[in-house]
Amino acid sequence: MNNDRINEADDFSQDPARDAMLGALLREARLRERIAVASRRHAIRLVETPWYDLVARYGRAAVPIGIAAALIAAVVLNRSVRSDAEFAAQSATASTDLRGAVAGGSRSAVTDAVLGPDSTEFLIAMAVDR
Amino acid sequence: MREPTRESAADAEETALVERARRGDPAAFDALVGRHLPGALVAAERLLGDRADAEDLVQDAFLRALDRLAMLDPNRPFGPWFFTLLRNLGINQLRARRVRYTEPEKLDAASPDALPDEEMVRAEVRERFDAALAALTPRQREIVMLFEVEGWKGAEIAEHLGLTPENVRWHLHQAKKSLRVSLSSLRD
Repeated sequence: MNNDRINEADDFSQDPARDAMLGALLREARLRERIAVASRRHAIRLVETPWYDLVARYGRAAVPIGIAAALIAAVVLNRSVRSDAEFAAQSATASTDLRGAVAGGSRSAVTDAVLGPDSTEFLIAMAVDR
Repeated sequence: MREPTRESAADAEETALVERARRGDPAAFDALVGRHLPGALVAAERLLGDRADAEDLVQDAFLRALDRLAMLDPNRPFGPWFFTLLRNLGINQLRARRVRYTEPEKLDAASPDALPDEEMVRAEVRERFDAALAALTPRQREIVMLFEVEGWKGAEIAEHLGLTPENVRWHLHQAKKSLRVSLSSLRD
């Protein structure tokens, strides 16, 4: 800084000494300006981002998430919802079984037709699990 | 009732700036950049060891911060959050370059967070310096940048701009004189 005063005293035949502090401030000012310009461009880009850019940006993550969501939905819906045709077919079989059992006159056949056949498989399964 | 301390006033001011920037006010974001830029540059240069890389890292970190500002908890201060972001980005860069490095010190601690009084002086000087820089002619501005920032010699600038070296030095002299006036309070 002091050297500058000596060098710059109306003598333009040689370069003045560099001023480290001024240099640092100029660099900082330049970077501030750069960031200001970039942040404005960035903000505009975020506002104006078209849908296909968003797809391109987040598509990679969206595809597996979408597939996973579809699989979960399929499993959940399959448990709770049955198609009309499936339901009608099942009802028809059940009512035929019940009619047959009633006509046969056996009490256990009627119980089996209403509640399902008596089975001890669940007891075996529990014992094996333990 | 207790008087609010200067520090808490500065914190409140910063919280307000963050809130405004979050709502898309570019001037508020510029003010946040101005506050944290010097510390960020020191930290980034310490981490990467190169001034130009540090400048790129700082710019990148500020843009990321702008992106993620909505995620910042309003009760948390901007500074430490930003410096963590900067540090993580810097470490990622170092890893990408596969440069061997020792674990960098915590940048939060390294960031020269100025005291509220110093911050005020710094902000005022910055404002005056920016105004003085903006008041230079485009030629003076280019010459002073090339000389002080890029490290060019007077003769090189003269050749680049089609001027005589004496003319370049005269412009340089004028530019530096104007800029020095804006820094007078800082240098005294």
